[in-house]
Amino acid sequence: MKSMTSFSLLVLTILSLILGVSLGSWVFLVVTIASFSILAIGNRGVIKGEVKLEVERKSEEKSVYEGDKVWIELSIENKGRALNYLEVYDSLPENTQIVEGSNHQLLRLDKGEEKTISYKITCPQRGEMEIGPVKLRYRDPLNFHVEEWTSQKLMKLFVLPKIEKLKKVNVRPLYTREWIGNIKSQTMGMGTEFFSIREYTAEDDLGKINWKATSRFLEPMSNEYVGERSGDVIIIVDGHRFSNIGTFEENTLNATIRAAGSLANSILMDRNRVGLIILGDFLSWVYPDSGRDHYYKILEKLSGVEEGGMWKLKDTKWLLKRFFPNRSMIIFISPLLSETVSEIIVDICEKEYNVMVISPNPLTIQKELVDTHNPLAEEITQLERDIKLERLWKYSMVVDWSPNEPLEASLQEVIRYWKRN
Amino acid sequence: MVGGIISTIGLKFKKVLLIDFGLLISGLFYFYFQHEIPLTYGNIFFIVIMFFLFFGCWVFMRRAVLIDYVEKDLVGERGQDHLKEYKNHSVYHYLWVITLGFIVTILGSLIAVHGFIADFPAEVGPYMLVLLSGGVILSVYVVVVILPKYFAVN
Repeated sequence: MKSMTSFSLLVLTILSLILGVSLGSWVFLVVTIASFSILAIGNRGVIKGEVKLEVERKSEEKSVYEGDKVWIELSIENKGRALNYLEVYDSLPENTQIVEGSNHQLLRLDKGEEKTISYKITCPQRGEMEIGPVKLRYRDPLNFHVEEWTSQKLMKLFVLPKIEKLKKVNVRPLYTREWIGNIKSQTMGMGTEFFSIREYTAEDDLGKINWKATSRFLEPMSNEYVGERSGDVIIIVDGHRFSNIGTFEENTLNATIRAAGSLANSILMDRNRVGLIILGDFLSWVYPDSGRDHYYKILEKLSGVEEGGMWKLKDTKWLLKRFFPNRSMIIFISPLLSETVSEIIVDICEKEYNVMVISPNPLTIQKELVDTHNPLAEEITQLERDIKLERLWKYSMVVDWSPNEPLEASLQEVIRYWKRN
Repeated sequence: MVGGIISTIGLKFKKVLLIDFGLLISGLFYFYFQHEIPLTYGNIFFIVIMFFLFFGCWVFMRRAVLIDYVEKDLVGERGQDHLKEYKNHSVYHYLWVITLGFIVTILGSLIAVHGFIADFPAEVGPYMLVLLSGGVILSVYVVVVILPKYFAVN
């Protein structure tokens, strides 16, 4: 494709020829010859024939945590003619920032040569994003000829919500199931913690025989262990549009998601099963399961949460009853801005569920965003919130969490208080 | 003067159109004011030099804009090597184009005006004709054979 530059020079050539002839001036005729020679020399840079470029990405899918930095590597192999000035531009989503290198480069590629472009980006916002397509532009040195191609090599990047490692606090379900876990059960069973010794029975495994006790009592004795089991925890994330307050970067929904991710990590580490219900733009859920893969599945789901929801919040109850195991522990994370949410929580508590409510305080977020605030309005809002929390305390454990403080501290305090009473 | 200021503003604010427009205005006005100078070998040489001076300014200003455009996206040291390679290569290339263009233009101009200057001494005339014809053949050879190899695209 000829560029405007080439066309402009051609116009200049003709113009100077016309001026030269009309003015009878040799100066303009010399300018015509000069322009024409530039035009002829410049047009030799035009590519003739097929251009074969192969664009490859080092990885086509990657998961990173919010705020983490990630290297993007792109290799371009020239399987056709040599290209002296190849401009490469790897398209990036808006909410990414380059911290090293560049996604825009000028390359010189000889025949058969391969070059790699690498740059580091930071992803400040959770979500699923696509890197690419790669735009390639060849321009001859004088910019007389421009050719453009687009490579549809995309890279999927999952920016997972940043989580807090809950080391000192254990959120454990009250009801356990048959599966082995880390929660000490009230009954004997499979486990690692010694409880007592008893007489050997035919069903006992030989490994369970306590040989010291056997020699002392002169009859075979077996060890008895405390059963260690696991339970089901269902985390409900309130992403309803009425429950979101704050800016794009700092809002109650992001705090809710961070809390959900941190809790999922801690609970799954204890070998429990974790399920997830998201009341966001869409009503979506993840059936309870355990393991590392499941943890990433939950985080990927959480990373894509967007506020919204035209459906009724009451559908949550139906979903719990229909698809999730009963006697599970429910962790409801919500800023409790809607009265309906409190009603649903009370309703769930009355069923066979052990409920914990974690409420990121919207007032903390709001206070940070405004320069001036009305103390009376703040007091009234806080009072209304306290009444809601007080009511819920009658049915469940309630954690009033200030999102700019660690979740672990708030959880520890409430669990300690709950156990004492 | 005005054209020069316009193109300098264009360079400062990295606007290619301003650079093009400023240099076009300067060039046209310059050559218009010179259009009545007498036709001598010295003047031909002078006009061609001035043309390639304008052309040199134009390509190097555009190069500066392109480099700045890529450079502003660069963070840290990584990727500088590709740009450095481009910077070196482009300078070499532009100087080559200017030199080659200059030679071709001088030869072309001399051949074109030879007919009406025609004041070579009689004993030098045939040699000059051979020299100029050789020059044309050489120019054609350079344009058709050497340049494509240099660009490595043909």
